[in-house]
Amino acid sequence: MVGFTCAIFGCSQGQSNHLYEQYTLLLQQSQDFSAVHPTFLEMVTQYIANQKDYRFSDGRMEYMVCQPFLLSSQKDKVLVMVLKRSLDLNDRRTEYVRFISAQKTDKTWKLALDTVGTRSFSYAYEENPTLSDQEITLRILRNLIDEGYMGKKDLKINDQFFQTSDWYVLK
Amino acid sequence: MKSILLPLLFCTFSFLKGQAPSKETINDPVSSYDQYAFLLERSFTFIYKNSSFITSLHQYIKKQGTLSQNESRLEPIICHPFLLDASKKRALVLLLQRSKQANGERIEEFYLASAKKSKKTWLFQIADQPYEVHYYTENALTLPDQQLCFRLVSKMIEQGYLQKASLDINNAYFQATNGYVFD
Repeated sequence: MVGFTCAIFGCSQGQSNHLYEQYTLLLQQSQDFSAVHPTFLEMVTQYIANQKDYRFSDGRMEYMVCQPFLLSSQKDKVLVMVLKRSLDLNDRRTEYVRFISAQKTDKTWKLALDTVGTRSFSYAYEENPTLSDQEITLRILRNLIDEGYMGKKDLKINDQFFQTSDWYVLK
Repeated sequence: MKSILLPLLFCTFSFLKGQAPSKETINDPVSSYDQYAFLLERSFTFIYKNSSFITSLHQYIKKQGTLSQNESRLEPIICHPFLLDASKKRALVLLLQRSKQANGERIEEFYLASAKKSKKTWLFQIADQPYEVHYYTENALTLPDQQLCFRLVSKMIEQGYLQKASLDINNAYFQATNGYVFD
């Protein structure tokens, strides 16, 4: 837990502490996006419910559609993080994050699950406290920024990311 | 024309010198998202420098037993940001217990842990009753702790933890709020 937290802090040091500004900017954009597209979340939920390639419902609690959404600057492409808290074969806590890609078509949204890629978090010791959704998403966001979603020292979204990233599957 | 313009420019310059534009007042007012980013950064920096804080708090939670795991859907979650005082010797920490009601419906309970630095260690106390409870309407999607915390922290900011539209911590909040039990 401490190592994890230090990792977040350490990375933010490297990014001149822009990580938190970037995070809250994206949170704000996600909230605005949800207000403009009130059915988006519902569609993602239905998509998850109908998903046959991966079961989200057998975790140790309900799955979670996390925020922030990673939007393109035109807000016509979105990468959504879905968290499933589970147990591994040894009954140890493991957290999995899967990505759902979304692309706006004429009147609706096309959705696709990345069936291959997943981000997982496990706990080194049984006594480590369970991580919050927020810490998990912050950690992933930091990696996605490293991979080019945003500039490391600014608040600009790099749309090229949606072409180059393996996490976004609707190309 | 020159005789009018020069005094006017001088007056404008003097005014600007007297009230140097700051991020918080003129160009870029501090929003609730700025405040949240500021508190998150402070919280993680604090943990980096006080690496035993979370371990100690986690042990206290387990030992104290208010947050029982019996009816819970998940282990207790220690949430960020911590609400620290200006000198980082007092902290209020939100603890999330995701539970079920007797009828099986989901419920999210936030408990407040008060922390006070004492020489080389930290004293903790967890309130017996939840500070806030969130209920769901039927079939509503489970909310991530980020969304729940953002709402709750914004409420605590409004109640006086931060000065309005600023990044200044109001230490008097720790005396004024019922949530903080030390002092």
